[in-house]
Amino acid sequence: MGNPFPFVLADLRRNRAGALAIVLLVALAVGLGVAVSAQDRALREGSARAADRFDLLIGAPGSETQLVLSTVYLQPAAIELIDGAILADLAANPDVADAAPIGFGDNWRGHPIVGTTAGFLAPAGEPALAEGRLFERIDEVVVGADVPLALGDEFEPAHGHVEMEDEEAHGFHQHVVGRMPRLGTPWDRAIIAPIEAVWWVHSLPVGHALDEAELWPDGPAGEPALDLIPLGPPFDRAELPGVPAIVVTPASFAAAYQLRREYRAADGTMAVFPAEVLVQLYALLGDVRDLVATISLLTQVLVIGAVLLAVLASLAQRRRLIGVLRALGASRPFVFATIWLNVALILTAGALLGLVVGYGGAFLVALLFESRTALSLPVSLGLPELRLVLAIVLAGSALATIPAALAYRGSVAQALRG
Amino acid sequence: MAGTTRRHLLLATTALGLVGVTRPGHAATRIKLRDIYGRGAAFSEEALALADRPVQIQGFMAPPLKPDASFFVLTKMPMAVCPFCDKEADWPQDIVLVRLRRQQDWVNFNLPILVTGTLSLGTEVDEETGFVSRVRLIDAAYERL
Repeated sequence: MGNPFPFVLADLRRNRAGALAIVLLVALAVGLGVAVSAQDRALREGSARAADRFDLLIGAPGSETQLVLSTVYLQPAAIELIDGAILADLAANPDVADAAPIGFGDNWRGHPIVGTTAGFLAPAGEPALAEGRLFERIDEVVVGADVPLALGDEFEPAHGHVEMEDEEAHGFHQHVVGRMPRLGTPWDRAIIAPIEAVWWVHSLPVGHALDEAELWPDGPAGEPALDLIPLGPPFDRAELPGVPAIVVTPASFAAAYQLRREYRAADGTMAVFPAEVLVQLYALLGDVRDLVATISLLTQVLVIGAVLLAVLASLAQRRRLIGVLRALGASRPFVFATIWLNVALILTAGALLGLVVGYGGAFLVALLFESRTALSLPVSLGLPELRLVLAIVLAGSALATIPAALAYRGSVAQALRG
Repeated sequence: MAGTTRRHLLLATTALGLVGVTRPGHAATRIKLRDIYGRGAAFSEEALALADRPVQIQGFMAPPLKPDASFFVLTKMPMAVCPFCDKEADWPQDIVLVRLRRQQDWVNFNLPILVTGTLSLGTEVDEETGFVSRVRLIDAAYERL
């Protein structure tokens, strides 16, 4: 009687329903812990990745969180404008590597139309487009990966972020000339236009000095000569209307803090690193995660406790079987191994299934989150989750020695009689 | 962990022989933020002598530039939460880029911290962010004071 496995497997097969129920119970408890841990990391990574292109935001004084949500995550909100001349100041500042306006507000069928510069889309000088090219005329746009428009399509922007019953169109047609690669951020849902187009549809100056007579060859009632409007910097300071936000790429670490301070101190502006807001958010999320993790840990303790109790109770039923084994000459280690393996196998199966359940749960939450916010969360199983599962397996295996040691109690005669 | 401590000790012993201003009980030479720069934009002699050696600098964590990053900026004053300090901060003289050996939890921005790392001087473009820095503490770790 060297190998206890056949006995363990036979025993498990006999108690299929009970064993399965325990495995599921353990899997759910472990799954909760795994899901919370994996989801927390995914949310951090996903939101951090989305904010990577946005080093410093300058906007109107107000909620820092709102400025970050509106600019980085394109959540619609009423945002005040800042003086467009700041854009010219920043462009002239040697501490600034790049300054791009972000103008949101308009939409096409619920897809936000965001005005910016070509430079913002091509930070390293090379536009990373999936297909097509960057806009070169005021009526050309680049679309995000999830916008249902093809290259060459034409559309009319509508006022406001959300679709309304009484949509007021601007009588201005935009053409799709390029498509962005998938970024996994809310910008995948956006239509990206030159900032001049956003100003134009709102009948504002377009940031460049224009000859009115040349622009309207057939008079104000005719078609404007849109190809005469230059795009992007340098802007004419006097012709710059307000913008909701400016994304600044500083040249150095010192410049980042210098600019942040400068535009915090200035009247009418606020400057914030999106990272500041995110770190606060992570701290809050961390507290929630710790709370749920504690609840999950308590659940695991309860479940393992219940499993051990169930095994102890079942020892009474198995007494006869163990008695028979002993009468047939089973040694103490053999009986110990039979019971211990039984419990350890169930717990390990439950914990491993919990890993799957947790991953699945986190994945479903991420899908739901993505459908609401368009921010994709890279859910993965990492070291913390594996460590959690390993801890459960080890703790369970250690505790399983208790019923295993108790199984050999009493004499064979007693056991057989009982 | 034990390995790195030993290495630091070794490095520190070397530094001790050359500089000799080491506080007992500390492995690395302590230097003040304001003592790193000499006149103008040049580095001080003290800083140059400590270049590429383990040092300790006390300061405050500036607001993070990147979330979940393994670096932060060390400042003389707690500028994240103190508008008075923020106004007084003498940019860009007062900052040191700290590259952590391994990620550590953020501490409250108005609590003083002590950073231990290898002093790296000179203008350098950061690979991760593309930003220029002049003074760095690399392979660093920090503790709350």
